[in-house]
Amino acid sequence: MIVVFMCEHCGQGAANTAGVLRMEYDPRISIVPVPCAGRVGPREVLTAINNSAEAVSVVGCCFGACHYSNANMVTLRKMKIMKKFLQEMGYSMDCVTMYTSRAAEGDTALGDFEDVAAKADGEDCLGAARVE
Amino acid sequence: MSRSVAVLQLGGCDRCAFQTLAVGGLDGYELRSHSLLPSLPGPESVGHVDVLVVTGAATTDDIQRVQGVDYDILVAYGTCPVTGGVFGLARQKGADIIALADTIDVDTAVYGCPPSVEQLEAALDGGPGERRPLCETCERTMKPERMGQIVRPLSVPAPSECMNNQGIPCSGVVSLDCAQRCVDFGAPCRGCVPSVADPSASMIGYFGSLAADVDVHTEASEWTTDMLGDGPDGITEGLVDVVGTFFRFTLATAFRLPGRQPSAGSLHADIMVGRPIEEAPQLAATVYGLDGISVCLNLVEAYESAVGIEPSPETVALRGRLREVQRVLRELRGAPDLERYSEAVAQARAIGGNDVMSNVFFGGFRTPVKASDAPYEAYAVPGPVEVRAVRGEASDDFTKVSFTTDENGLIREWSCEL
Repeated sequence: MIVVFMCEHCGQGAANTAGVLRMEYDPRISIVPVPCAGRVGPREVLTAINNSAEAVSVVGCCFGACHYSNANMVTLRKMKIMKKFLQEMGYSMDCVTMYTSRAAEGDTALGDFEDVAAKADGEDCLGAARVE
Repeated sequence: MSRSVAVLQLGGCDRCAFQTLAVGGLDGYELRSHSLLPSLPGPESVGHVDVLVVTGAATTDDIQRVQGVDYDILVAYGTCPVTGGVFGLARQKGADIIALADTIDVDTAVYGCPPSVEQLEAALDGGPGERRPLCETCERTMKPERMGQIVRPLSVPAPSECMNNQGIPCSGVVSLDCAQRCVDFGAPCRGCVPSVADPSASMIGYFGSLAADVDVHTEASEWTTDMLGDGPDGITEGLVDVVGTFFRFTLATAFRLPGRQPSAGSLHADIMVGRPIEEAPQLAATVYGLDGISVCLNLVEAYESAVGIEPSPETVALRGRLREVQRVLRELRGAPDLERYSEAVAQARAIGGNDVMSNVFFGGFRTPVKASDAPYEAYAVPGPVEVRAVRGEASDDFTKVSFTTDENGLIREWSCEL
């Protein structure tokens, strides 16, 4: 399972638009709605990984367009720390990612989904490590 | 009627095991078994005991050892048996260190690396007692301000300002007051006594929020949106060792997957490799237990001579006094004696600050030494320690340390002969 936290403004908006347009994406992706990307922190990432997530991603609003001041930019730093953590543990940085999307454009969410799914299949990713 | 107690030391550094010798002198308790006292029978052959005290870091096999003892109450003494402790860092290289409390119900957990004998007595009497948040007892002033950049503690932090405000990660905000109080000796807290359920995640969350203005690498995606990049930035340059900084005592509980870094050859090397040089003296003093003073000083002196730092005569003299304490501790390894141990540790604390030598740094001492009459300038840390790729080697009467660092000052090879 790939856990994707999506903010209720741009993130879920774009996913809804993609749904209305019947765009298809990887069935492993499981969307967790959150009010804002700023709601997601290291605790959510670690909980997802400790409960068998192959990859964890956060999708928020575009830079400068966060509906709650600049909370998406705060989470950006936290996710970078988590990326570094995974790398130091011998896993790929790609297991934790953070994207943005635009509510009116479904293909921005789809691009995020395709990228996170492709990255989750990487050699040093969590899914591969669990199979070993 | 007195309550029977057995003490089972699993793996690790022996400090907590030495402190538990105090049970033998407590009114109302009868010490039936103790791993450091071969004159007493093993815990599995003494029959029923009221209290089993476990100390040290556990491996998977230790679960059976604990379950083989017939006890009513289980006290986990020290951070190691509860969360895997500092030895949990070896999991980064795939080592088998577990958090015992994840598998076996622990009735009382006495956190601390190490805790104090008074806390053990309180735990035996029913609970670990009240502890205040570390920040409440810290003399530094915290300001509601973001940091400009993340800073490695290569020199002594300003004494009056919160280290997190200075850009140095300090886990005091997610910790309780403890017996070591590294923050009093110019060293950031690494969280041996957590105040929250998931200290590492909470600390990264807190620090990440404070770092909201620090430069971060972003890139534009092919599908025309912004995204987080993998490239170097202010975050990765400032935080050279996320594992050792935020997961120092919690790696075995916070992250369930085994690390995939290659093993460095031994449990201790697995802990030391990957750690930045500025954190290494304190870490070495922690994990090497009763030999910690010698390993810590050898490491410091090896790096000093490699990068050309000349310690002052008073610094050398104070280190000499620490080595005298080391001699006593070495003698105690074969003949455990709590009184002599406590006396020696008190002498070491008067110079090195606490049990884990937080006051010892490259070129001198981070804060004024209680046991010295000389003015602080005579043995103060002269300036920031230089970070570069070196090979260091030093030995004394007790241990021999050799290591290499990379250009970021991270330890890449480590060996230590005891």
